[in-house]
Amino acid sequence: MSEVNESKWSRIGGWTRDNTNLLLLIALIIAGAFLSENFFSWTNLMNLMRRVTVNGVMAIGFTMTLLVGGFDLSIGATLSMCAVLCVGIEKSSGSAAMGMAAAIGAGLAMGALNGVLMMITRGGSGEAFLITLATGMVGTAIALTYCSGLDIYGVNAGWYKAIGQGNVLSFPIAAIIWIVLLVIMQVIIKKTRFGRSMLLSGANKQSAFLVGIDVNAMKLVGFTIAGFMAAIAAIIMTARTTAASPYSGNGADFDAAIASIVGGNSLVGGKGGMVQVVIGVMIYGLITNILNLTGVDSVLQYIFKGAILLLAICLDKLNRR
Amino acid sequence: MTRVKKIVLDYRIPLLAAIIFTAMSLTNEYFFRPVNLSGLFESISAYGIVAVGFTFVLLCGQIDISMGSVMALTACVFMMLLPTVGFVPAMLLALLLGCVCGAITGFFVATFRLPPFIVSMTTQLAFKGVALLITNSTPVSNMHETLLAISEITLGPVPITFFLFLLVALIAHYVLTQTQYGRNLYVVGGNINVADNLGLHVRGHLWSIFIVQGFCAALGGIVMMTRMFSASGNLALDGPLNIIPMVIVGGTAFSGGKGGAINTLWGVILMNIIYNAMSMFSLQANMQEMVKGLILLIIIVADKYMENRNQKV
Repeated sequence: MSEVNESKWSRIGGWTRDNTNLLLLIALIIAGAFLSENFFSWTNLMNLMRRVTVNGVMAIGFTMTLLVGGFDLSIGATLSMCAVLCVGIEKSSGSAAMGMAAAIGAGLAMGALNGVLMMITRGGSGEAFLITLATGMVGTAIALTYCSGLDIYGVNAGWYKAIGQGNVLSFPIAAIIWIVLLVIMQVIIKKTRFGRSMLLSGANKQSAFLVGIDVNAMKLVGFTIAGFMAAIAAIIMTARTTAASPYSGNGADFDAAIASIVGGNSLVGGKGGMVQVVIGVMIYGLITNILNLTGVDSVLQYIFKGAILLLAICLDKLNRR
Repeated sequence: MTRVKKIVLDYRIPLLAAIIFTAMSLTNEYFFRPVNLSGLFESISAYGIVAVGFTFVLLCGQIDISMGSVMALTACVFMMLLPTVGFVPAMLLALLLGCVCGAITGFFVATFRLPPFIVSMTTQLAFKGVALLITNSTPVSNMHETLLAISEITLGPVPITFFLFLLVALIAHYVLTQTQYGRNLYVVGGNINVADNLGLHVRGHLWSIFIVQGFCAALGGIVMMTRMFSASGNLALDGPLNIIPMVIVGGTAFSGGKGGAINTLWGVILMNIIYNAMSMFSLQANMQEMVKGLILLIIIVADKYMENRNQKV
């Protein structure tokens, strides 16, 4: 794309266009610093970390489905389902480990179901949207049936609570889990042969197929990771609140989608990574934070978030031209 | 024999509807009663009208899941305007608002060529937000005498709104099969590049289908009010879940270019009989949602599998 004798200004322009998301994040951080003098205090930053963790973990999963050329709307329902299963089984069996295992199992199963259906239909993002819309409805119905529509309160094992509330050197454990997951996923998708095949299958599935990549298996893996991440997010969330509601995942898929796309992960697949996830999740967390601080009505935030997502996909489209 | 086979295949959806209807009437003592039948016909009208609008969108190979929120928003505006401006102006303004909502979604899809599912997902959220905002998150109820009068007009067990649905479906059928515009939609849905090369105004056609969908959603919202007399921002939350299967079962494919308004008419009737039958077997509400989700899932996967089965990836 770049020409040999392009001027300095066009290069700056190009850099700005490629890094709009990063610039937006910096602008938001500056705005936050002006809005509140405590913004850069350790407590506030750690609060921010704590707040974005659940969405951050969800966004990792969502980004994986974007990278393989899919789109997962069901992760919100998976979050609800895993949350009620985690707390419900912890309560009935008395063992937090059992609850977590059940949650992770359910998350993997839900993700694998999406992946298998994607394999059967050989679908792209449009098919993925419809399939996960339907599996999401089934997942919500399962969550509601399991707990009869009521909130479940757990027995609160100490180490289980620590996942959501504890700190290591005043750094939240949940945030550490998020960062570890980010690093693992980044290494897998950027540094391994498997990860590269995954990105290629998302970018151009026909040519990926022709060079011998099992595109359908890549889809299965991408969606299964999304289900797994939703289960981890459910564990972190229930550990923090020590309760689970069948409605807790409502809108969580949408939040994860906004964070992933605003961060700069391309809708067409194959382009993006965990750096974009961090940027997007931070932007989203800061915007929500600023909207809350300035007292914007929660209903108005709906409209605002919708507008942001629309703007982000317009930008994505313009960049691809 | 081949002719019989062809007739059975061509009319399989209405035949299936008739079979389920007969089976339900014979096995369940509460099914074939005036109360249940009029309930069945009432429940058909509102979502049925929206399904006809959705047929236009699917025919062009697009998708729009914002219909539930458009119904909610227009119904809220309609109910809020009703006491001050009267029935007909309120209705006209609500229909206009529906067209505007559709035009907003269509603008982003047609002009920027963004993926319609994401655009409609965001506009769905935004319309719901606006509806909640203007109603202050509380339901707007109004037992307006015109609404009451409309709800009381029936022909046997069949309410007048059902005939409105039939009328909408027939008009849509006429537009799709007998006019230049309708035929163009099939071309756009069949192959968008061919339509472009033919010299059709593809963007205009894409935009128009979303406006049609918005209009039908607004009309559906108003029809729903003749039965519920109360609107809120969370009205018709399950709209996409209920409406998409009706249209697909009728025979309009996701890939576009195939189907029609009469197909949707049969699909609407069949799915409503199935939904009604589920209630008759006193299935728990959550279980019903699960069954509906599974039905939608099977329909989508089957449809997409048939479309892409010859591809390797």
